[in-house]
Amino acid sequence: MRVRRSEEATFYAAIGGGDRRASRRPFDRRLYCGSALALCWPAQAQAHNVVKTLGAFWAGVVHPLISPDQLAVLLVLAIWIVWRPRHADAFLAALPLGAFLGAWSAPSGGFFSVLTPAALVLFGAMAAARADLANLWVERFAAVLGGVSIGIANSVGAEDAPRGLFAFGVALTVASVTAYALLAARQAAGIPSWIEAGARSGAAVVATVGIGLFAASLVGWFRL
Amino acid sequence: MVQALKRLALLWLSLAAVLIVGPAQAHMSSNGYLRVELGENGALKGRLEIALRDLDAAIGLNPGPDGALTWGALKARRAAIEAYAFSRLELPDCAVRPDALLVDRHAGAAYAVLRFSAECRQTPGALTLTYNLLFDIDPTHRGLATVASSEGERTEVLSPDHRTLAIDRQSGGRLDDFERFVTFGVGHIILGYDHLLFVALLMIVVGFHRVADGSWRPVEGIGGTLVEALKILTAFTLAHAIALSLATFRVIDAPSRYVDPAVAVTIMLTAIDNIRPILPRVRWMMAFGFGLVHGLAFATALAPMQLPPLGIALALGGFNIGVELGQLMLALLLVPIVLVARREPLYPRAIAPALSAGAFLLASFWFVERVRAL
Repeated sequence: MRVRRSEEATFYAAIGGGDRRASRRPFDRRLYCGSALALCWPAQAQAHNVVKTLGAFWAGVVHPLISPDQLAVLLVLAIWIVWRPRHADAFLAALPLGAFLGAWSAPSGGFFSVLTPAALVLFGAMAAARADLANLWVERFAAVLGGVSIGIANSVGAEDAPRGLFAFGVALTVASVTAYALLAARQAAGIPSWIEAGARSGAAVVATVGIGLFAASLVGWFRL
Repeated sequence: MVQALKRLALLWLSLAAVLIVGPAQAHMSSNGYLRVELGENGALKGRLEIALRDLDAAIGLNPGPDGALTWGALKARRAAIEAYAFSRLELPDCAVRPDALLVDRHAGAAYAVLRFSAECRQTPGALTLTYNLLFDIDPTHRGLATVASSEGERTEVLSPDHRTLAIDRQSGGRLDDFERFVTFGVGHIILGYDHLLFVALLMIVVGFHRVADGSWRPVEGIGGTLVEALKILTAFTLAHAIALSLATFRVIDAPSRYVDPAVAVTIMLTAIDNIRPILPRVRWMMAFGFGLVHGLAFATALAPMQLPPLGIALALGGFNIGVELGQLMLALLLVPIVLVARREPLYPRAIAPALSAGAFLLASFWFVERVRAL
């Protein structure tokens, strides 16, 4: 779909960045197209090679970073955390704990197949809305759930590898991404509003994509 | 509420440690060495070296009741060894003839040396060798291949994703060889869990400095922490580069059966030092000292390749840069976590000591395992 120039200008004005039409050069378009193609790359096949050649621990470390859906969950969780910098320890402990438990227990099929799309919708919406869950324990619980969804989605990558080591690798990556988000959050006071708008818009896009995936996985679950 | 969260954090750390200690083995690197020398009129000679430990895992070598493998027992399995090796070293259109079975030692580890010759129907320029040894039982196995001719030498690192080797007279580009050894170095460090655990132990307190009473206090700012991390990693790399170079040039020959337990001891000492100070306070010096021991553990990696001096220099340079990059990968994962967690008083008081205690237990397990294998 082609965006009309007037709409484009309105969009940039809305996020406070002014009219960026002048900067939309062919190189930018190639970059966007390349990024889109990269997301279509067969991540699953790569993941299997990773497990075979890197060993269980590093397979766990790398796996969340090479699957677009899991990367998207991590991304929206990170965006949400940037708005919730207080009680950093809650996120730094709860998210990896959930990821470890999810990757280690590795339930499969049925309900668990809709967990990642549900996480995309839930956390995408929370990040887009800068949701404040008011109660710290609710936030912690939500963070554990987010971690569990990432862990379960990654558990398929363990194959025959020692599951404890693999799960530890997944949890370490989740902890590291969380830490990077919290470090970014400490600089948040100086973030221009257009970056905030961009990040929240990105989270909204992820949530929208998540709705589509959620519907598709529900169809699969109920065999409609 | 905060106390409950702290308990939760420690619970998950303990849980992870218990689950990991079971299956985690300090991976002993598995490398095979192949050297092919091109002659005239399609003739070639080769030398294939496989660790006896790997051969035992692949086909069983029937060691004695005490676990020792005698020359007689090895000779009795010669047909099986040659059948295994040459069925997985595919040279189409060539008649391969095993010439001899020998035994050689590299850093104390015993290798079966299979000498062979081949007569190929095509000219060697069009030949491709496929290396399929051990990948089915150990995907982290690597074949370090050298193709030598009157034109020069070329090296390749063969892996499950890159099994074929062109047998031709092209000497390798120096940059290509260098790149291959960088990749090999990265692979070598990331699969060496004992080396990684040592680096991780240094990193978990990298955002702190020790005060007079022996406790840890956070370093102010991010820059100081990053500089300290870089100093430690570089000192470690420099030390093992020195040790590896000395071993590769055969200035020193430290048997791996003694070096491997010593590596476990360095981890145990570092873990104790994280909890109670027993070592020098300047951590990069400690990393340098222990790095010398860890470097000796890498000695089997390059020494058997029989490279010319320039080739060895490139291989050493590339390998060490790869090792540094592998360590940086781990540091990039750990340092931000430490930077965030160091503001929590619980981290230096309980979490870092708990992690160090877990590492000590794991290293003790490796130490006992390695001493028993002496």
